[in-house]
Amino acid sequence: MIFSNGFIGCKYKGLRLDFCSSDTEEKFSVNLETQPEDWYYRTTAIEYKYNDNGHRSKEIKDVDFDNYILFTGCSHTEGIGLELEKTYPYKLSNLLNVDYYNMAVEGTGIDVVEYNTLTWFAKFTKKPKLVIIQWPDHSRFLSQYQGYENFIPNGTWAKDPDLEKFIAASEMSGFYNARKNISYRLIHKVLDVPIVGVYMSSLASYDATSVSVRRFDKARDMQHSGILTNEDIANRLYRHIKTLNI
Amino acid sequence: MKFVNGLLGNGVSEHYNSNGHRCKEISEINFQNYILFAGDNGSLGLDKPIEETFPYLISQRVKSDYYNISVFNGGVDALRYNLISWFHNYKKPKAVIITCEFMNSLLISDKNFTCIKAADYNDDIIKDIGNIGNICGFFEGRNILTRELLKQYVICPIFQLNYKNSIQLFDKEYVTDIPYEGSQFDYKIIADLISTAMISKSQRVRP
Repeated sequence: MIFSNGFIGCKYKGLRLDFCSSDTEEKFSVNLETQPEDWYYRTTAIEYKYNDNGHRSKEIKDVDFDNYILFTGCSHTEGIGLELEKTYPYKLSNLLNVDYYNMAVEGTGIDVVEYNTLTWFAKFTKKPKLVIIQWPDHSRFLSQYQGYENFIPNGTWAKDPDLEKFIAASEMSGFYNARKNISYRLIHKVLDVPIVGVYMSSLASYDATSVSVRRFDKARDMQHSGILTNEDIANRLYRHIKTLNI
Repeated sequence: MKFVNGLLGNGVSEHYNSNGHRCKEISEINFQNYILFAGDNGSLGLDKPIEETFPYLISQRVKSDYYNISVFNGGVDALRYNLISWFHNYKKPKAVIITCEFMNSLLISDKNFTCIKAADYNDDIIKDIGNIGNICGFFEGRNILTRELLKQYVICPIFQLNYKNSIQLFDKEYVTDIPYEGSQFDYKIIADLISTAMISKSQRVRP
């Protein structure tokens, strides 16, 4: 991850890619051998197009600031393993008939969610109609090693014994809870628009009002949520938002 | 510690106002002429009467009212939370004085967010977090994100007391950095240093 125009974005800013992150070409080649004949991705390519901020979204200058919603979260919201049109942010904004901007970055923790969201609200006076926050696993955090320009996202995927110990100690001591407590409160304090939370059902929830979603199909990388799951998330969020009378 | 009126305070004690801060009530502040202190143990000065703490002495010297959102052992998380909340809610001060001795302090909380408090550094688990957090770049990452966020929210002159051997949030180029090598309990000297820097800065910007 990198700083780009004041936001935290992924390092592929301004690029178009055929494969990205866990959705690798190597994995795709293996899956071609093992997946059924009618596997959707045999005949469908995915384009990952990142804007100048390193976000898988249109450029900010192209957003309709009079009618838009804002998304933030991790790779599930970025849509790794999916065509852009199959991601839940794209589908939900279509259902709501609004434009959208998606600040989600793979590997994101609560620190980047807080940073990007508060940065948006500091930079732009025209607020979104609502903000969808996909709360990530609370054990994730951003590391900065001296001498390196990029930030390194860390989480439970880390194989380093030190990191494993750090994560376990932070969990046991209640430090992660405090970190989450502070960020959650700060986001809710500063964002003077409705916030709709969403989280994967396998993770600890952040609050009682967030929409819990479960995965029942897989994206091209066989790791992230698939087309049907994203459609379900969009529909569930749409129904939830309608009850809020926004 | 306790969240009161959207700010993180030190809890209930005769030292603190109703928000848990060592200063007068927010309702009594002269918002036309005030400065804001944000830090931790040193700026609370709990070993002295409030009239001998450096926020009080500085406010007398620069002839401004003041509010003190410092939290004991609050570290950068309390600093960030209180500063952003303050700037979001209240008229901006003439200046912010950041005096954080222990930037990497840790807070702990329960799962349901019903309480929040400073971590106990005698606890081996907390020691592990402190040690490994440095090695794995956690603290550096946290401080960078906080610094860049505060640059967007704290829109006023910033004075930073640079305690010897302590981690500083802002680069010297971005704030008025005030190096200090003496004891953290010499509040009069600290007050002199900071108020002199503030007066000098304000004279430089006057026509």
